[in-house]
Amino acid sequence: MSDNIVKLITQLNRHTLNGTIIWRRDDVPYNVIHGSDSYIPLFYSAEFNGTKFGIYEEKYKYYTDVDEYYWLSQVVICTVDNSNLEVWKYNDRLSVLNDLYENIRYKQSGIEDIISKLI
Amino acid sequence: MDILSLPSLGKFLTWLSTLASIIGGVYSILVYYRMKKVEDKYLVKIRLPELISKLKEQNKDLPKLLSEFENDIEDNKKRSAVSSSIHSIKVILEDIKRKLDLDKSKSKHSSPPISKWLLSFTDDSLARMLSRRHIDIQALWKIQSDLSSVIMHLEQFNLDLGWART
Repeated sequence: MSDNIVKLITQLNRHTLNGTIIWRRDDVPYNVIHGSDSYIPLFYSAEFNGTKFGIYEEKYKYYTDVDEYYWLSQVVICTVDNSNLEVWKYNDRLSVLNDLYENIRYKQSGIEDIISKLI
Repeated sequence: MDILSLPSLGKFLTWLSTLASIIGGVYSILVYYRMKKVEDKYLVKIRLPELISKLKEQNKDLPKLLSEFENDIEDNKKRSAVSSSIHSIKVILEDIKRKLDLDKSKSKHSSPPISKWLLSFTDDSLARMLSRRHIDIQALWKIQSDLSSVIMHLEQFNLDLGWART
């Protein structure tokens, strides 16, 4: 399964870099934050082949004892339904997933335009 | 009394030193092979995370290079940037494969994806994929996608070794 996920992420990355997929900032799905003390700074969504995909960095507490924890983070890719609920997610620590998230943030931030205007 | 005579004692000591030399020599050979085995394992464990990091860096840049080339296939600079990036990746993967082959017991799980990737294209076929007349963007993206799968397997293998430095 993971090999197919890698193929999907490669396609999303390709279309993101080519500008054929436009990611936009969106509200975090209700079922992602409800009942969780994770912190999600940014959530991006985009339509690809008729499916709405979401991607976000989840910062969560990793407990080593009852009252001892430290913060970890992971990038999650998911699909979202029409009611803005997360219906599938994938959060294995793949370097390509982190690369995709970084590319989306870079593209969506508009920093490319800002830099090109300065140069 | 005859046994304790000086010539007999000398003969006995000569035989004893010969025997000690033979035992010492065999022991040195055994230690050498044992050390070599430990050194090979050490090489795999220490060098692998470093090489995986290098590979990840290259794989991070490749999509950008491919995307730039896809948008301007006439640009020779972009074409050679893709070509040199894939060749650098090939060199790193060949190095990783050599390191893994040092530790035969471990390499059987992780070497096949690398070999498959290395065999999936030759220098000629890559040159053809990048040539103006036979340009094959899909195949180039497939190389990148397959490489990401190889990295995923290597990262898992690295974690299994108990060294999570990547």
